[in-house]
Amino acid sequence: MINEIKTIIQNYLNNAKLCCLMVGTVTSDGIKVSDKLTIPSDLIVGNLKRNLLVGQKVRLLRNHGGQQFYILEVISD
Amino acid sequence: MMEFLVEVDGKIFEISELVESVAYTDKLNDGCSKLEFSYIDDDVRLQNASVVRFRYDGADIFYGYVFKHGQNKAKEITVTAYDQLRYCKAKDTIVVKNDTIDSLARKMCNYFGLRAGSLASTGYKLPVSVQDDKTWLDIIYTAIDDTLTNTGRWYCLRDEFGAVAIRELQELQLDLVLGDESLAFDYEYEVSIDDNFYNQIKIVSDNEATGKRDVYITKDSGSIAKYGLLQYFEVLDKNYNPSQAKAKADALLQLYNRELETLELKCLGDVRVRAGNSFFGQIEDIQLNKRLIVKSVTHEFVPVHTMTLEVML
Repeated sequence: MINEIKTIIQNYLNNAKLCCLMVGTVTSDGIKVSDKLTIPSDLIVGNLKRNLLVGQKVRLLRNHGGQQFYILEVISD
Repeated sequence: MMEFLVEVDGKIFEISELVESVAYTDKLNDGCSKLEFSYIDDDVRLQNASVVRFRYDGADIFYGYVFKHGQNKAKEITVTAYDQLRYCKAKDTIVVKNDTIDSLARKMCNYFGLRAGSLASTGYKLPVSVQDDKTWLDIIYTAIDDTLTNTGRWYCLRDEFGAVAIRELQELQLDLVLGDESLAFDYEYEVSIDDNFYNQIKIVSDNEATGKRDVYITKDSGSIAKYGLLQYFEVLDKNYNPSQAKAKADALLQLYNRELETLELKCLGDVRVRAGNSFFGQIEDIQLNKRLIVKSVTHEFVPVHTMTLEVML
């Protein structure tokens, strides 16, 4: 019983997509955070978005729900 | 009559004479359909992933794969088989962009190597979104919800005898009456204001321009006088402008300000009835006289064909 509840909560949290910090690389069509996932630029917000250059490493804040990504800073070129 | 084929090690067996029970369960946009059956035999030993094909009265009912089987001392073998959509419970990460429900379904079929059937073209481009670590089924169900809220057209994903299909519920209307005078032999009906019933909607949203919290209230005074005040409360997370927030409150009131009805029907079987199909319901005692959509259905084929339906009212 306890294990089932743990699994359910684990799955729920995983599905709800809590806020978290991510690191990604700027590419021509978005920001690549893993081999599988390149975040499309439509979902990226923040003042820094205008000045991004391909190849830059950036730190992102994922909003709750996982459909909005705020650029916190550029880490390196 | 019944035609029940199973494939074991490349050989095909007809076991309709041996089966003791067959139940087929289907739910609307909630996972794969399922065939559970049992039979007594020494020779035919099913294995997992064996193909099962079941037809009844000339109608295609189920084509799928064994996922579970067991037996007891009396040599009674019980088997559970699922259709192709079982494989779509796998998780993946994808970006939805310039996609429609049908293009997503096509991608899913290509990825898992599933056979695709009729994929209705919906014409509605889904909003850009990241689907990270979600099951393919959930990704498609989210797309179906988005399409429903934005266009009012409702689709379902299902496996039709070994072919994945997207259908609009509108085209799944059956020429069938179920009720007092037709096929039904029992029903259970319940009306409740216990769950999801609200006659006052209160919505608050943070206004970035003024730095204050805006409050929107919509209510139905007649309903409050009758049932007492039942309030729904929500804090909007997105930035809605006042007219959008008001519209949302009105939409919620319309959605929740009605008694929740549930109906379960027990009927003699009709092979055409699957989840998502709709039929005409007629039960005089509860003043029911309208078209109903099947939410879930269980068909039992032995000894006679009966079905239990849960419908949407």
